[in-house]
Amino acid sequence: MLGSDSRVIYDQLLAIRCRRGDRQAWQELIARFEMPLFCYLRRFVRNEADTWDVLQQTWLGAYRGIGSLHDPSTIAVWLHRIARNLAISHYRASGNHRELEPLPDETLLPETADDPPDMQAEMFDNARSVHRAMDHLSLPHREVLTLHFLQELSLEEMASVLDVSVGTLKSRLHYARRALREVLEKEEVA
Amino acid sequence: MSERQPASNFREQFLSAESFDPALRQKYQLEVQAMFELKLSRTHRIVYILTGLFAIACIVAFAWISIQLPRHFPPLARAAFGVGILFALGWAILSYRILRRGSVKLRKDPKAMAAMVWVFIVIMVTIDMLLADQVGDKIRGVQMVVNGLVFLVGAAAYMTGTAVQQAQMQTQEKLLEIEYRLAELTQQMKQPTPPRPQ
Repeated sequence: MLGSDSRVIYDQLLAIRCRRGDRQAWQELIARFEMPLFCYLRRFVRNEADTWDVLQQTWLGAYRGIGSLHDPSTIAVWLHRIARNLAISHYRASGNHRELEPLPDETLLPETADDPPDMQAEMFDNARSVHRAMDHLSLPHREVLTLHFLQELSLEEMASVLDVSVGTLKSRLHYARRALREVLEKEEVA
Repeated sequence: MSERQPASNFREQFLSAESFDPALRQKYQLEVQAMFELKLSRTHRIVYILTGLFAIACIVAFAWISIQLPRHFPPLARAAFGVGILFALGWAILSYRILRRGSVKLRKDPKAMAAMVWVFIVIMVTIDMLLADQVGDKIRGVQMVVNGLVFLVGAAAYMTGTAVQQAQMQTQEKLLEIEYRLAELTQQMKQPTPPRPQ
């Protein structure tokens, strides 16, 4: 399995090779990001068949637009942004608007020297129950948690994908994790 | 940029907990495979057949005209007909290959078409400029040279830009390959070596 550094470099290599028209590199890029992007898109698109369609459109968008990707180190952010824009369009087309509004309780946490404490070490131990519990969360919370759990992007990159400041992202992640914990606790009690 | 988090077990669990229908995934994979090639529709097929036939007609016509040309005809102008024959031949071969394959390779074929048109225009403009001094009207001759120069300078700038970009990407790729190897070696060295059996 690739380490974090190797993975970042490998992604950049793939980005350059794809830009140069290497078909093998395209297949590797698709294999590399297929499941993380599918998992991310699933938070927006409830129907599985539609999710695969949106993912396919994401690859088509990437294939057409790879020439405009000048910085290969941004490949992961770039792909997530394409996927997100397509997912939001699909989401709106299916008549959903309300969940895309900013959350009313999302007040910024005070700036501290480091990340909020609960963001650093705490891990939810059962992925299946996390998946189930996430269905009860709002879309912005589902989205930010999915990006966080997938560990493809740094905080700055996640903020860039979501088009928010890093401060807002940290707050959102904090509230999302709190909401997730509450749902998990309720499930445990039940 | 802050450090990315190392890939953890939870990430893998989280990914594998995402359920999907294998049949839907297979359908998607087939569609993604097909994304790199555009299957020829009936209309496409007709367009490529007509292109191929027109290219063959051009080859025959240019060849016939160049044979019929009077002896005193400038050799450069005669060469222009040769270039026309090669250009038409290129289109005929490309159309034939696409028709035989039954699909257009979305990255390769449009590039080949653009390259053929580009090279043809550059050669024809150059011939046009070289023929300028054989035109009786000097002002018209100067016009031909100036027009050609404007085009060729633009073409040279574009080609230089593309070549520089390609070279940059190649260098970047090589550097990343080295960096990748180093990261792999570092990772291997970090892993504890198993104790030797006594």
